[in-house]
Amino acid sequence: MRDIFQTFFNFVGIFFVIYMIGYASFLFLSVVVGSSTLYGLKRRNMLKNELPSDYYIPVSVIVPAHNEAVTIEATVRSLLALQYKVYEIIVVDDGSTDTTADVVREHFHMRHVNRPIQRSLHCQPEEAVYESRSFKVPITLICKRNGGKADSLNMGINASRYPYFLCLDADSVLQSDSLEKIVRPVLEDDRVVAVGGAVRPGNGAELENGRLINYHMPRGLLACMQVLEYDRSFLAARILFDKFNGSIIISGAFGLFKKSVVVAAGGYDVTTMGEDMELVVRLHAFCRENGIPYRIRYATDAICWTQAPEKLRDLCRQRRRWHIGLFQSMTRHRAILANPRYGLVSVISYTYFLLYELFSPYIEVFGVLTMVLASALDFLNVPFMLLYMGIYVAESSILSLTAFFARIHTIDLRLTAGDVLKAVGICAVEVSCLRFILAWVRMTALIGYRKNRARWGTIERREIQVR
Amino acid sequence: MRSEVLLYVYGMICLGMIGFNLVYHMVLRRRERGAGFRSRGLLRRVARQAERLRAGMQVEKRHLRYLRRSLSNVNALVALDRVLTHELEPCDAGRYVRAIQPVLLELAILYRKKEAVQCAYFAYFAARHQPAGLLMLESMQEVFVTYLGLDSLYCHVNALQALYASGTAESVVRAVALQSRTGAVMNDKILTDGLLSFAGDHRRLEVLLWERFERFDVRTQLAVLNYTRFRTGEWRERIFSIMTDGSRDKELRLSAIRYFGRYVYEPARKWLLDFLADRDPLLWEYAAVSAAGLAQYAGGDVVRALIGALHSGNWYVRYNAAVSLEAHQVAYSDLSELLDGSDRYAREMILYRVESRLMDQEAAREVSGI
Repeated sequence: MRDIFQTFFNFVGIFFVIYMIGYASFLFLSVVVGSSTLYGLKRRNMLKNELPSDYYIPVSVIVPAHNEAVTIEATVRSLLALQYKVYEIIVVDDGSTDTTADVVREHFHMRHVNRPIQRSLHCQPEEAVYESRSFKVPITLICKRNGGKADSLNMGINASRYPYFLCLDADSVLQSDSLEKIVRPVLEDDRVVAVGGAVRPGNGAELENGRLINYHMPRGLLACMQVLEYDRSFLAARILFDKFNGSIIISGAFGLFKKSVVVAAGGYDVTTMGEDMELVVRLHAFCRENGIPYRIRYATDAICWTQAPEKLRDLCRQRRRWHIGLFQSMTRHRAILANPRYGLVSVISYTYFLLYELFSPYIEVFGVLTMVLASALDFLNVPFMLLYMGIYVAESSILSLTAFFARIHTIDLRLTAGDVLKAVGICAVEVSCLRFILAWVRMTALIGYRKNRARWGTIERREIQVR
Repeated sequence: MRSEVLLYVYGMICLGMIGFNLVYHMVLRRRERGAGFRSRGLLRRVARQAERLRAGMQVEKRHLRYLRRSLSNVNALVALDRVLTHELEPCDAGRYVRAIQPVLLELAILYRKKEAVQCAYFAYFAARHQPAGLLMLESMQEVFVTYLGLDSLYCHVNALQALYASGTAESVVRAVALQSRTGAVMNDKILTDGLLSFAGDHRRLEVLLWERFERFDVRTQLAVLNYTRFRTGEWRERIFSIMTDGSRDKELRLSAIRYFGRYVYEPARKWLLDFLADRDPLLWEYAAVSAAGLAQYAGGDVVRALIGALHSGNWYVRYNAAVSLEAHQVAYSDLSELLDGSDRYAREMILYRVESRLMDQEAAREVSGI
């Protein structure tokens, strides 16, 4: 019996060493590529390798909202402060039970209109449409029957007038140059069908007229940890995927899409919780299957500040939703797995998300349980385990800090000594504690997920401070 | 034991990374400070030469030698840009730039061989100081035309900017032809807007572009057609032949229809009406653009066709037809059949246009403070 356990633990050990080396290599590569790209971008901008700022592509900004009365006014005001010239704002109120629609109507002098809306994509019917022409760009408010975020986005696409649309979460604000920056890849390359922007936790950021005037680490520890996590996991990895047209996620909080291609591909899928990821994976599949030359890009300098959850309960809900969305997207498009037709999207992107995002919580929790079992059977090499853990925590912390400081330096933000110490102190906690809590949340996410499909996530909102 | 070694190696690599970041940060800081020193040093030298030029003397040969040596470093070029823009009077800067043209020509050739970001910066520098009289030399323009053969979008854009600012139509057209041949994927809008910023004789530029039109790729053709649409209505016949040629690219034909929406051309009327009447769902874009274009064409046939288009199954066709009918100032009595009729889509569109017009009027009144 003991031999069987010994063999089992040997296999588990080998598996984990290979798994962790794979993960560490990816993380290492993405942080190196990510930080060097950020530095390269800074140099490129210094040497004026950029398009003059007077080219504009008309864009419809779609803001799906469900019970966002607290934040919606600030979000629309931040949109009105954009430097961009040719755009429209469409707020889609998805059957809110609070005063979201009233807030928009009152603050932006909206008037009821009998606007006919085309039905390019299926969505729940509108109940009322309001418009305002009193601001620098037209604002439209569509009140519709509740149908979920994807359904609201489809309604926004139907109502949009321009060839490109931008989806923006109602709890997010854009910097004044963000729209200009996210449109750049489209101007640079005709084949671009979608562009993801950089979504950053805005807790600790202070904006005035769409400009960042003050930045410090958030007060709450949980938000601080998310700042580091966003830079390590999202910023760096997305830059790496962008290098080979392999991005399969564009955050639903801030992404630009070519309308004609999205409509041709069928729009947002209302049956999934991860409609943002599902759409991007589908665009890869659609363009490749139809022989359409395409690029999906990531604009690191187009910045959207969003509210990171400050309560553990909210964070767990958010991550649960993300994991279900990931599961649905991966299973729905499983034909991509090991399929040479999809090139590097299959070999690198899909495989990475499968092994290190979708399966990782199960593997991590399995690892912990194996450790407990090994300890109980006296198989555990405690010094080696501690060394392994220590190096893992040190490596992940260093990579988090590298990505974090690379971002801070390349956009000329100044941090106080206190903030630097806070970042250094917290990164180890994030890697060694938060990560495992979230692994558990993600592992249990799929239990009973079918009951909650197409629901909006409910996260406690705070008023956004935009001056 | 082997796995421990592996882990240690990883740990070392990570420490190396953080070290690299720290060193890189310090290097950047030093460079920033260095740029400040460089600007001050350069300012002293340039100011002395500008004084000589004001006094009617020439730039010292020693100074030209210094520039040849130092400006091959892109950071020095950035410093010179800073000095010319912020430290010298515009007339002094103009005189100075003209006086150092031979050095800049040598640098244009030198930068062509450097990495693309530096090459693009040199083109940017040239475009920026063009108003000061830099690009007088034809040989310099020739070098910039060759920049269009490089594999960098920013080299293309900045070199084109420099050539637009030169005001020499021949050079611009050669550059446009070269970028068309390289198969660059630059958006046609960049090319159109760039051509519109051309500082020389637009008539000459149009003639040269249309002479070479058929040799351009479709994207460049589209840019030229759009540029012409924003400039002049003098190319009606040529553009009419594009609109009526079914073998042409769709976007090109749509742009031609838009041209005739801007510049009325009687032979185009029948074509626009035919496009509008076509109910083939695959050709809805032709119908929608024609519906918008017909706003400029007076006559009962047009109004009847637009009213008919309000029954179209396509939202864009109905919308554009309603907007054009508004431009024709059609009385509501003429639309009573529609407003009382059974076609809900047509009725809604007309009502919406009425509401939109009222809102626009209100907004205009608010702006004017009435």
